[in-house]
Amino acid sequence: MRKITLAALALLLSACAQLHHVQIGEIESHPAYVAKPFDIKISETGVNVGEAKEIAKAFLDEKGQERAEAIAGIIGLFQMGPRTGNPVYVKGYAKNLIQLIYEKCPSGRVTGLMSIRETRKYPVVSGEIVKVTGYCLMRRDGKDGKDDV
Amino acid sequence: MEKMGRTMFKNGLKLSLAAALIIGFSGCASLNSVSLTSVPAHRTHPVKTERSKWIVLGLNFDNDFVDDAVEDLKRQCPNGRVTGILTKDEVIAYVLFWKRRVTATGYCLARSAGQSAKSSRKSASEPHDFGSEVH
Amino acid sequence: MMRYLALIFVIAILSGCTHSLHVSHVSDFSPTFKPYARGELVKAQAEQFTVLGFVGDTNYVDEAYAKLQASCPNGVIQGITTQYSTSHGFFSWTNYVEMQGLCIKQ
Repeated sequence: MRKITLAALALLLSACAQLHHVQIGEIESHPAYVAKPFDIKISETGVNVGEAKEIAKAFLDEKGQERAEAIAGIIGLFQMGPRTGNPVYVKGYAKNLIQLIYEKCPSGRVTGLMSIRETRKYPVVSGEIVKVTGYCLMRRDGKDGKDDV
Repeated sequence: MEKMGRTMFKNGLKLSLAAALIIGFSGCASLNSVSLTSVPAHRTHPVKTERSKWIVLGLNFDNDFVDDAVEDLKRQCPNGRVTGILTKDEVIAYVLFWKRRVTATGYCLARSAGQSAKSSRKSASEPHDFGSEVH
Repeated sequence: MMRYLALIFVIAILSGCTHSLHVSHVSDFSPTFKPYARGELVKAQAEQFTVLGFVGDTNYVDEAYAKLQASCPNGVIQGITTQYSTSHGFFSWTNYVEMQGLCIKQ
């Protein structure tokens, strides 16, 4: 019962947001244009094998704990390298960012871009997030040029 | 036999020390962050700045070494616009100390006198037509 | 027997290739501010394989930059997304830098 309570508490209290990188670009403004904000969020699930091992050990006997340590160690040998947040199993999950920006602002009059790389942590898993916010400039008089889609 | 063993041990020790020194002082380079701004069409005048700092035993009390990087780029491109800037923030790690290096390379676009007069006349009379400048 | 098979299956799944995205940066769309249809999407990627991190430089970034420029000669590249990631492996890893942008020809 104590183990279940501890696990539940860990679940409830451990959702954390972690900021890794943030960059802000140029900001343009003009009285003839309205800046319409947009935001894009791309996320992938990260897995922390070490945390999975620790939680598993809380429910296992001594022999099981040793096995869990050994398994985590073996898995760790195959996952060596620098990491930001937790590792994910999908490569290039944020590669279509430019297309997503153009979906939000087809005219291409994008300004005030802020690129954020953050992690939303939970026990064992996490959301590895790429967030981009910005503004799409649109003419106040509604007379967008022939360049606009 | 014993003498041969001791000689082999000494040679092995020397080899290990040499290998450790080579590995320790060759440095391991890693990238912290990278960014790139819009790249211009005319890339005839490259500009570059590099700022670095040695950090011993992790004792670092400020990051002021990067503060004048922008000024350095501006000095290389007076009366112009620096664009296409690739900024790299890297660490070259040795045994007990490391080097933090920030490198920025870009291109200088010189502004002609006629172009700046034309653009100021245009902005005074009508709304800025975003997308009219293609360098 | 089934337990061991399940264990091997779990290890095989969890030790699969993992990746980590470190930086994702989007550049400005100035000075061109053109829509997607007016340009051409260009991409460049460079990588660096390393065993236990023993590498002496990060020149693969400059290589990616040079490739991107070569893919759009005489054109402006706007809205450049720069992503730096690592693919993990057995006592080794591969660093990737991928750059994508919209090439606006003059």
